Amino acid sequence: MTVLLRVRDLRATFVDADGATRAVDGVSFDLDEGETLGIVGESGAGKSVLALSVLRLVEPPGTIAPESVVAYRGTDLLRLREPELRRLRGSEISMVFQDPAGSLNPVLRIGSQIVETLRAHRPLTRRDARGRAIELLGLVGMPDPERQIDAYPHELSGGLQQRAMIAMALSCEPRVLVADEPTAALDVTVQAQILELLADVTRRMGTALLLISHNLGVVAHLADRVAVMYGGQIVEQGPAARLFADPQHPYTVALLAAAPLRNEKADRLPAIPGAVPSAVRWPTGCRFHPRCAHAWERCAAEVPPLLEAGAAHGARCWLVTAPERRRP
Amino acid sequence: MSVARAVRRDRRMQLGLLLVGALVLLAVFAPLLSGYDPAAQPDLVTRSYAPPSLAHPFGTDFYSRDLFSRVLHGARISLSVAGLAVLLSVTLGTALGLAAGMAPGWIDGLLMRLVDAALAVPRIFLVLVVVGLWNDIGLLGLVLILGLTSWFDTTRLVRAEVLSLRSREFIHAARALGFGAARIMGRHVLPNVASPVVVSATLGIGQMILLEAGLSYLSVGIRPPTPSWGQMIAEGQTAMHAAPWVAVFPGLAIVLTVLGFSLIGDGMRRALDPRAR
Repeated sequence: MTVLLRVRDLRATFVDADGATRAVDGVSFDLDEGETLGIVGESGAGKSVLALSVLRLVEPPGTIAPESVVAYRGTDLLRLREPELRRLRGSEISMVFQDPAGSLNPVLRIGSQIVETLRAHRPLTRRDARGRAIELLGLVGMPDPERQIDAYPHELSGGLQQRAMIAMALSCEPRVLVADEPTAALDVTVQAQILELLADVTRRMGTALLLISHNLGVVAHLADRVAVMYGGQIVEQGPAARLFADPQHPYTVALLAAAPLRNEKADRLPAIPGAVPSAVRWPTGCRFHPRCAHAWERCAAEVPPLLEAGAAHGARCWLVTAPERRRP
Repeated sequence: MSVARAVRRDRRMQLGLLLVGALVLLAVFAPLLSGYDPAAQPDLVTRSYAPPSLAHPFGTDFYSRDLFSRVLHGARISLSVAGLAVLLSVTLGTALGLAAGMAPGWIDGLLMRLVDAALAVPRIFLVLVVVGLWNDIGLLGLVLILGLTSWFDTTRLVRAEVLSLRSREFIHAARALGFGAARIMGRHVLPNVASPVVVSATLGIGQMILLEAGLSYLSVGIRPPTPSWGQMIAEGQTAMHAAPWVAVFPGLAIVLTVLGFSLIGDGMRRALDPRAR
C-alpha cells in the first residue's frame, strides 16, 4: 500500500476577540491508496476544520500552523502555490459537503456544474463533457440522467442532490475524496443509500475516502480504519474491526456505549457526562480527563501521547500503560 | 421559469408592462404617429397656445409647435437617455460591487467610503455640480454624467449580496473543485446577484427619467430644440393659467412612465424574491 495523503502535526487556529480557538491541534494520520478512513467525533471536535485543512480551504481568521504538513504523494499542499493547488483540487483531491442543497449553485443546472468541473481539469469539448456528465449521473444512480442533467438543484430531492454533488466531486476520478458528514442533512432512509453509493463508487474508481461523521454507525459500516477525534486531537486510531471490538480510550468506549448500534435492547442510552470543553481553553493533561471515569492525577498533569495498543492501533490514554487502573 | 406564471397573476405588474409597452411603441413610431415635426413652428400668429383639438390632440405651445408630437419625441429622448444611463450605472455598479465584495481589505474599504461619501450628497446636487462644470454637454455627455453619478446604490447592493454569497457552501464547494477566483466570481457569484440587480435597474430607469426631467426643467439637461418633458414643463409653467395643457401633458407622461417602471420593478421583486411570495 502506498501512502497517498500524509498529514503531520496539523494545527488550525481561529483567532478572534475571545482568543485563539485551537480547532485542530496536532493531528497526524496517513491515508493509503484506495482505503476508507473514518474520522469520528462529537460536534466541536474539529472534524470539519480538519476536512477543510486537507484541501487548504481554511479561510481567515483561520490559520494553519507553519510546521503542519499535508503531503499529497510527497507534495506539501500547505506550501504549494495557488495555481498548482487549484489544479489538484477537484481533479486529484475532491470534496463532498454536508448539505447538498447548499453546496450546489442554485442558479445553474446540475449538468452545467458537472461539465464546468470536468472542463476545468480535462481537455474536453463541451459535447464530450456533457456525455461524460450523463455517464457520471448514471454511475451515481441518478434516474433518467439524460433528462435530469438539465434539472436545477431545487427540482431534485435531497438524496438526488447529494448524488449530483458526488458525481461532480468524482467527475475527474480523484484519488482522494473527502466527505464531510455526507449524509447528515438527509432523511434516514436515504442516508443508507448514499453511503452504499459512496462505498461503491470509491471502490470502483479506486478512490481513497476520508469519511468524516459524528455517526459511529456510518463509519463502522464503511471504514477500513477509524480515527476518533476529541478536543481537536486524534485520541484513538486503529483498524475498524479492532477499534470497535477492543476500544482502548475511555472516550471511544463511552462513544460506543452511547451509540444505538450496540444497545438496541437498552431502554435508555448512556450519555457521556459533561460537554466538549472550549477550544479556547483546553483542559490540562489529557483533554478528556474532566469527563473520564478512570482519571487519576497523571491524567490532569501530563499530556498522553498516542500509545501503542496493538498492531496499528494507538490510543492517547495513560490507561494503555496502566491497565490495572481501568475500572470495570 | 416561474416568473412568467407570477406575471400572469400579478395585475399591477401587467399594468406596468402595459404602460411601458405602450410608451415604447409610441416612442419608436413617433414620426409616423404625430404628423408634425416636433420643432416646426407652423403659424406663430394664429396657432400659438391653441387648445387641444382634433388637429392638435394635446394643443400647441407658445411657438405653435404640436405638443402631441413633442411629447412623443420627448419619450424617445427620455427613454434612451435613461436606459443608457442605467445600463452604464448598473454595469459599473455591479463590477465595482463584485470587486468590493471579493477583494479583501483596503480595496473594499476605499470603494465603500467613496460610496458613502457620494450617497451623503443628494443626487440632484451631485449632478448639478458636474453639469455646471460644462457649458453644453450634449446627449452623450448627459448619459455619461447621469450614469457615472448613480452607480453607488448598485455597488452597495451587489457588495452586500456578494458578502452573503461568499459564506454559502456552494462557493466553498467551487473552491474545493479547483475553480479560481475569476471563475467563481463570474460564474457562481454573478448569476446569483442578477435578480436583485435587474430589479434595482428597472426601478432605476424611473428614477433616472425623473432626474433627467428635473435637470431639463432647470435647463441644464437636454437643450432646446431637442424636445424633453422637463423642459416642456418649464416652458408651460409661465402659461399655466392661460394654457395649462402645455405643462400638463408632459407632466402626465412623466408620471405614467415612472409609474409603469415602478410597477414592473416591484412586480419583478415579488416574482424573484421567494420570501415575498
